[in-house]
Amino acid sequence: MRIPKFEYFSPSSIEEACSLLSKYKSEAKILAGGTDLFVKMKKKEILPKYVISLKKIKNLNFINWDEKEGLTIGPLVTHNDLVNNTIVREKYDFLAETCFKIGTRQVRNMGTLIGNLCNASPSSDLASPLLVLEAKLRTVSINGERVIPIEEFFVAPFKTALDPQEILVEIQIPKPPPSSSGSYKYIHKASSVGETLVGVAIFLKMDPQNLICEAIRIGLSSVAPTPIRAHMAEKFLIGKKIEEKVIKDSAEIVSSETKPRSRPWYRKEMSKVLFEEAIFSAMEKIK
Amino acid sequence: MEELSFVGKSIPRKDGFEKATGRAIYTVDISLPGMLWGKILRSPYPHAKILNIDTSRAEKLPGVKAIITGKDTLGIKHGFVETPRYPPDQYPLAMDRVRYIGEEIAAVAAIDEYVAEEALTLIKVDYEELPAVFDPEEAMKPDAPEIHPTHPKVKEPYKNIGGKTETFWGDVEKGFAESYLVREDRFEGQLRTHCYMEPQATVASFDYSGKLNVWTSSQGPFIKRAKLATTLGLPFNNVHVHKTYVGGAYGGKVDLFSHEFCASLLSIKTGKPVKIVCTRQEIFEAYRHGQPIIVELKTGVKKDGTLHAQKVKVINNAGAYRGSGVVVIFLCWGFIMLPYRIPNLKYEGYSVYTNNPVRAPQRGHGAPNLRFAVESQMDMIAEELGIDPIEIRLKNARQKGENLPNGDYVRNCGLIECIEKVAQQTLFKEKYGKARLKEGQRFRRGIGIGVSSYFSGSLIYPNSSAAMVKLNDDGTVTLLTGALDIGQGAETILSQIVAEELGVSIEDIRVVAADTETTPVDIGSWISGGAYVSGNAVKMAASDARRQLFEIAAEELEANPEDLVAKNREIYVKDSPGRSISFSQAVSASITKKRGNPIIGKGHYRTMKDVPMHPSLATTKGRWSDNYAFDAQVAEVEVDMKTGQIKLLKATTAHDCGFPINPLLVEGQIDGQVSMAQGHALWEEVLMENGKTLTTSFLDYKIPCAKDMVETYYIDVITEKYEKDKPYRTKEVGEGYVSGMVAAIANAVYDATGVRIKKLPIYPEKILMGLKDKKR
Amino acid sequence: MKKRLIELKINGEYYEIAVEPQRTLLEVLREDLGFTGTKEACGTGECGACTVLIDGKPFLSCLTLAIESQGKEITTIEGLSKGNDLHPLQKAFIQYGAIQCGFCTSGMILNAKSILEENPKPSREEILKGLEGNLCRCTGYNKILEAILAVSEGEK
Repeated sequence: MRIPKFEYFSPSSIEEACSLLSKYKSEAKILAGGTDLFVKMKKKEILPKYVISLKKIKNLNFINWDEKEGLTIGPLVTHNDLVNNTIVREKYDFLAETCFKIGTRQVRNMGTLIGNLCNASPSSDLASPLLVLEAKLRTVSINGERVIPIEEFFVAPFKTALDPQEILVEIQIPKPPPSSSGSYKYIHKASSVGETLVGVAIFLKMDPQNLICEAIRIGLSSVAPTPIRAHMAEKFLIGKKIEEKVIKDSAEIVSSETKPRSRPWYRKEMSKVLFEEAIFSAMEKIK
Repeated sequence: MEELSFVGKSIPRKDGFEKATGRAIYTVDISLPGMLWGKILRSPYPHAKILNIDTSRAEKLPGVKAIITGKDTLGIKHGFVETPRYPPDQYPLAMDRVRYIGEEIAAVAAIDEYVAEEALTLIKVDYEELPAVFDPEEAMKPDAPEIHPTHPKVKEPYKNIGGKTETFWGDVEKGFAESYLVREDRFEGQLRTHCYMEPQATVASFDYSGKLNVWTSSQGPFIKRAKLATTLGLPFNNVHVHKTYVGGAYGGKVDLFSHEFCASLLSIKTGKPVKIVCTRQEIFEAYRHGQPIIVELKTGVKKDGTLHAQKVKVINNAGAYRGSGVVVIFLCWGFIMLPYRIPNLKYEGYSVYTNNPVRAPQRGHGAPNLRFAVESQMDMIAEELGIDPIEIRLKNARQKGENLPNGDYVRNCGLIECIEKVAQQTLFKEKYGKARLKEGQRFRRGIGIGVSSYFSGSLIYPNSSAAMVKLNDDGTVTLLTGALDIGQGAETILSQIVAEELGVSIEDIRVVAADTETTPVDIGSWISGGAYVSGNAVKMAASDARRQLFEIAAEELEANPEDLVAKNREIYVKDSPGRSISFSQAVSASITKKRGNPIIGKGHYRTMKDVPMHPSLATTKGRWSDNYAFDAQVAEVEVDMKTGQIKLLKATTAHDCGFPINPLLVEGQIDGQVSMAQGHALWEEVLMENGKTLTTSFLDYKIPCAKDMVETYYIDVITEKYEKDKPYRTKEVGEGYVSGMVAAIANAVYDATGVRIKKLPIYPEKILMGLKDKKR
Repeated sequence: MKKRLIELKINGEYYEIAVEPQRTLLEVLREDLGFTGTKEACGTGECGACTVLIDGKPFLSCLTLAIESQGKEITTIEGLSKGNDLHPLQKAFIQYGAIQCGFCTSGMILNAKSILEENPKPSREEILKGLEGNLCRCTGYNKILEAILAVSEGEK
């Protein structure tokens, strides 16, 4: 299968990339890893006349940690870069684990975290952990820059809040507070690789002595047109002691917040099962 | 029994070096000077009249060299089966009607694929849509749209019948009346597909001498030659199908494909080589998938579990043309009557036209779905009677020396031994039935058994396999065989036979294979006759060469031919190794003393020497094969009762394959079939909606990956032996091990969960819903 | 589209070629430079048959632009053997029956090579997880695993 023809640019700075985008607007697409862009082009789902590669721009594959601000990740950081990064493994272990689960060994060498988010697949595994980490996304264009909270980023299946002229240049993940942990549990559509059928991410801050839930964020992949947060379940859990009945009741609420289109009964059931697994796992890490 | 040096040994495959170094040339790798690229225009409608095709705009596109439509062809139809009752029904390019989404209407040859694709968008086709039908049972109803109005000879009260097979023996109604227990169940097998890694591809080059050269990814060049020559109006000896390596086929590359025809005709028109490579998406959307069948099974048994009467109705969703549908409904009868004795049987099989892409054989060709039905029901019957699954099968299993209802004779049969050994090795009786006692346990393990049988070689066009063994001046050997290696190791096992018969090493043999111009005819790698039929032809040729060698050697050594032995390219007198000559000397002597005879051994073989034709597809009457393979397989699964997800942990196969010519290759075949069974039972389904394929990539259609690898075990049950100078019987190993395993997995899932699945694949939600239903 | 002149380093040697921007590394290898050992089974990143090593890491050449492959060490299956001298993985694949139709073999061996270079003694699970992106329809993966384990245990 061949990639349809296009004109290729490899600017050497973000500013240059922005001005190219402002010139060609929606006739242009940004190229990072290419694992999503080229597949879509081969299938003729999108046909940009211009492709603007980020590969010649220096310093775009940064993973920086700041004791106050937390983690920032650049647009050319691959899934493998995150899997192998010691800070990510230490501070955001469930994010590193999810990056190891994504795709295949080859795809993890090529695909980027930011690229995955921009693809905005409803079943993106990375979206849920980032939703519960309340990541912020910084974009630039010739009109300036802005920061988009991740919950506002996914607008519709495969559609983000990005303006065609904007480039997503950084993900900011806040530093996790003490006594907190995260977990991501999922099942596949079939066998043991491939698309996720249901994914549940949890970020939990809990008192390890009395098991009271101090903060909770629940992210869901592949059960709605976009990755979503289960706000009702979160509200229900805040301030409660996390024990069996509470978990079961929250699971029901989580399930009610899902809006799956295909295989709905099974997805709703699995969102309960996975929620319970995720919350147990998060609790164990805190204890 | 004499010691064998090569046959029966696990010798690494002969083409391993080429494949491991990337040097093996597959059709997709071929590039010829001046080569053009072709693309096919396909119908977007499931059923429509073609009112007009206007190619004028496309022809003007720079870079386009030729465009063909139905009117450029001879209008000669072809089909998987071509008999008086089932004449060919498909044009290589649609003439006045299209009958499925994806049917081929036109083809373009251009300087590159981009131009060819653009040209397709410029071809204007006017259609008049017709009502379409997709479900076979709907298509059989009297008010269904007629897909083939000029109907071939099958007359039925049902509509859209592409083929019918009907047979019976005994009195089935009386049999039911006499039975202690009668069960009636309906099972459905899904639409699944081959997923060969090498896409469908063809390179055709019509040369200045009027010869059409073809390289194509196939399962046997002689069938392709016959159908290409016929549809193109060329004499057979002017169509040269060359050998290429084949990247997997499993039944999906047997008969003629439109792109092969189109590449050829485009080459004839342009005078240039033309290459067509299908995309994976095209393969999912428009190419032949495996035959989905519905099995309605009514079975009566005696109190002790002996089968007494069986009524079987099979409905096959053949797609828009007959394809191999008429064969699969015949085979399903065979797969019913082979493994167990059934005194009273009535069998009806219908192959039904629907407006879907045409279906094809897929590894097992009906057996996986059929055995899934029979073996599931056997377990259900066993449970009702309070007998265990092993006992009921031992009671009914065929034995050596039985006469089959169609007149075939089971010369040997290791089925009982297979069942006993597989039960023993897997500790079946200890494990069976335990899982359901463990209420509340999240992960439950189950064990299940499936039994199957497969024919080994049958009569089908081209009816013969032949071979030649040439001696070269230096004593090395060249084997000419029409047999095609599609991954199963044909060239290796045939070399082993030559090495054994002639007393040379494997490295001394050069195999020239699967070339219609230079190698003799062969039946092809799709009729389960590789080891048996092609093997015997090669054995005979090698034996003939050895006879000629010994004749001249005997003269040179002043000995009797019976006292001679060949080893390492030397011929010597038994017990007198000092008296010897080399092969090279023997060849030289033969040339000088036998009027130029360079020593060429010839051999040929077919199954059932006295039977002229394949049994009737319509009535099953007639001898079918003289060789049947049997197997019993056990699956051990683990089910997550909370998610319904199933893992196949262990697969044990006890098989009567006669004897394995190369045990390492046989193990490889078993592993591959277990993997296919896993996919078939648990995940694989081509989803379609109103004739449109929804699963169009490996992302949508999940085949097992490395993480899904199953622990496999093998038990050999040897029922034949190999002797020099005699035809041998060995049995097939390439297709029969999918079916037993699919059935075993389904039975194991029942053992673990108590949920009986009658429609494959076993989606996890079916387990959960089944558990919910049980609770009520 | 205008062609660009690029220089690719493949199996230790330099090749200069003019290509259009949309040409993938896979196409250029197979159609322009004669390295037909790397295969295409899907074209959309799911099968792994097009796997090559770029600076020692496994990449899908069907989704990699040729013009973006300059300045790197590209290894194809052809680069693993010298004449009749085979890499231990190639020998093991042949010896253990890990090859049937052979179409997935190139990608499988290259990926396996990179797995063993990262971790000379991987567990069975690590190997199987590493190979999850290389589909094989013939072998069931059993003998592939055996061959790789044999090499990791020191077989040459």
